[in-house]
Amino acid sequence: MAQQKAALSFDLIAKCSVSRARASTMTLPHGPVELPMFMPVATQASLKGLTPEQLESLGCRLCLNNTYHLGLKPGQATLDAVGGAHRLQSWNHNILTDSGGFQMVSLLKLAKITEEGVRFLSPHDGSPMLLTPEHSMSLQNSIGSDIMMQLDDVIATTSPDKERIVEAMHRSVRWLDRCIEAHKYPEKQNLFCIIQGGLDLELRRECVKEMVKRDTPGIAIGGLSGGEEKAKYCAVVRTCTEMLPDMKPRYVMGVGYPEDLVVSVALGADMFDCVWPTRTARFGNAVTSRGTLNLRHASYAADFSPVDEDCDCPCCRSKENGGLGVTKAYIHHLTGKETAGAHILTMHNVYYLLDLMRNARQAIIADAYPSFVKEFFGKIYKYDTAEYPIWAVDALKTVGIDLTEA
Amino acid sequence: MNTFRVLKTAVTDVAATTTQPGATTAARTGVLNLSKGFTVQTPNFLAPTSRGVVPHISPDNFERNTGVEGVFVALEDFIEKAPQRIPPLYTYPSTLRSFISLPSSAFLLLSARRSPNITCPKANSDANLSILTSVGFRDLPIKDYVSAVIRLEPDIVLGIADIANTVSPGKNRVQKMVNRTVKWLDELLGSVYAGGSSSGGGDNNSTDEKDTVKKLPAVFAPILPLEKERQRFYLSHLVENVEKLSGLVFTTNESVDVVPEELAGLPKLQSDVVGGPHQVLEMVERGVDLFNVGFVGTMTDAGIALHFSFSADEVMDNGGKDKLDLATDMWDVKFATDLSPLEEGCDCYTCKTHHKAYIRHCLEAKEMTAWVLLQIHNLKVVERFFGGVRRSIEEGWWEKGRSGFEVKYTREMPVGTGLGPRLRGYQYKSVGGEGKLNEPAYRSLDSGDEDGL
Repeated sequence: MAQQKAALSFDLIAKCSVSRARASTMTLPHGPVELPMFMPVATQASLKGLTPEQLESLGCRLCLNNTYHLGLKPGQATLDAVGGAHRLQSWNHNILTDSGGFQMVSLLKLAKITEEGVRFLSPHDGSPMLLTPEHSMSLQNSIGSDIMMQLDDVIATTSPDKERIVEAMHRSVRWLDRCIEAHKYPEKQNLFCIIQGGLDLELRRECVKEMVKRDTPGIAIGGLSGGEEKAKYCAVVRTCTEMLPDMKPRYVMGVGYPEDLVVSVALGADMFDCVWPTRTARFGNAVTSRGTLNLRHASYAADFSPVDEDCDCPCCRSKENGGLGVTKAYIHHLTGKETAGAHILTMHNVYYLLDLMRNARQAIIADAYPSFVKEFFGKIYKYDTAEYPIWAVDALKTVGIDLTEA
Repeated sequence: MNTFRVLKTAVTDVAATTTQPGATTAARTGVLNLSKGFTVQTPNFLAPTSRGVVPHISPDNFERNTGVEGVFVALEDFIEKAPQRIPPLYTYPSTLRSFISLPSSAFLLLSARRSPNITCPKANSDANLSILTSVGFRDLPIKDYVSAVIRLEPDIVLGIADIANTVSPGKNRVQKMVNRTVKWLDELLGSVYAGGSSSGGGDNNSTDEKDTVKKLPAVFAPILPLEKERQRFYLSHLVENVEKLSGLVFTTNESVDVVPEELAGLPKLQSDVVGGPHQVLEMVERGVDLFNVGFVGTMTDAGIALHFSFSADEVMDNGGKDKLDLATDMWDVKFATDLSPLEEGCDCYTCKTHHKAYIRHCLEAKEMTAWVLLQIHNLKVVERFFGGVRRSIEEGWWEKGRSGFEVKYTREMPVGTGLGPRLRGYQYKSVGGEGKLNEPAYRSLDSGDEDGL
């Protein structure tokens, strides 16, 4: 197998002396990003009402676009004419695109997967369409993302069909080869492979071996975050990171709950994405250091405290300190009624997750990640260890962090 | 002290007066000094708000990317329907400005109702104004408004007019309108000036009292949408209280003509500007100083980008041919790959950073960013327009500018073709029997009976 070209450089800065947590810097075509990191999802080339200027001001340097959505709107011809997604949305930092395969499964009822690709009905006119690895690469080449994902055969981890899971894993490897073959610009766009294999750890190991051989610039762990038990999720992540080369970024797809992030970092993952923080913001839910708050609840109608007292985002920061001084009551007043309410809370939620990972990175560099994890859980559960989720306690124990000890 | 000073009245063009003998213009520039430190050059505009925000503009964008100098806020946006619960805003320990995170660069005008507003099915009573909350109609006790004004510390407060639901109210209703508006204004003035000097101006008072008076909101009295004779009693009441008034507000264009000479020195606010820049110019000509520009948000929601300017350029009249549009519908597919800004040479954030193709894409994809970018641009266009109007009066080319504008631009705004943001209950009044106003976002591909996704 030929050595793959990479359009990134990866520097491992520090490793936690207890857990598998790592701090690194990845330099992509549109500048360096610091790992571990959370990547907000700008599905249709816009982060849900925020301007690129606002997203940049939150410290985001790598966000997602969805290939499937951009393929429909504005469409490949327009993307080519405009000159790619960076140009389309005037975003001068990095973009990661998925392959389009996940939306086939999540959004469409009639997706049928064959060796050739994913068959589905066009949401425009109902005509049959086919998404192949080659087509996915072509679309992502038109988008011009800094990180592209291979088309993989995604099935729900909760699927009881063992045979189908095996088939999907092997097919994902074959599709990776087709993607590598079809990728036009390996010198300026990085293609990441996606490890599949359901919740079967043996299958996952086999997949890791095959994928690592292909030597892609980065490696993703896919097919998770689909409603499986958290303990099983952790086992898969741990199994994969154990075998993955140190000098490549590791991306766990579709993960966005703060607790999942903190635990997954301890298990050795570097990158995460999820629509949850931005979607839930539109429903009036604030992600905070003390858990998620549903600000639509009547109890917040006259709560004039900031969304998160410990947060330094532009919304939570007080007017005296140059922030907007937004209160929970004001979000309550706006949620579901004015778009700007969603914008404000989206900013907060994105900032919270970016900042959580920035702080995690600092802790890893200071070799204090275990105490960072303890403080993080302590704050959410008021240091009542009985309240800590068992899956998190167990998963962290496997990498040497004992949440229950003082 | 809230003061208004007329700086300059537009000079009537000699050529124009010869064709129209006796025609004069009331167009004027002025400066409104508000007691809390705002200096507003007029003619100028206020941005309407909904629930305390300029639609689509989060406070950080407001500060960074708009030049809006004042906002129009309605108390009805902060009142809930259930009367048993105290509206949270009433218990807020600080000012309304702080509650809505309004940037310190903008002044805040408080009104009881939005403008334009939805007509309530129930008529007002002596003590109550009918309002529309986000979940339905209810009464707003006048005394609540009056006490809210003191606590919420707006920079300008509008008196409440009792406006009949019918277009041409009868004699008895008119009498009621006049009596209630007088009574409600007195209650407001009484409350605002309580503790201060009863003579209002405060110039002859001791330093201590002067300081209290200094912080008072500017009270703008409503002019009723009635002919002059029918509100004569009310107008004379305003004249008697002119010392306590800082301005006048009205909703119909005609109302400006009923203003008595004694009140001509007060700044005049047209709170209901839905007609676009031509209406603004017509009203500037008639001496209006401030405008609540409702048409901007309507255009933004329709996906329409404004592009007009008020300049001294020479414009050739060729019989109405080749008139320029005031605005463009950005839903048009012809912009799909257009990398030019919404308006060449515009220095707003949107035009400096983004192109038509992106805005068109965001509209098509129903991404909220579309309206954010359009609103930023549209507000900037209006800001520049008012700057041009002020300059024209200062520099003596108002009439030329105005007739040039008439010749240069079409009168009508384009009609939107695309879908706007999701409509909310407080934005329209159901008349019964109409279909769903918001299209469902998802539909099943293969059958109608199961949920998509």
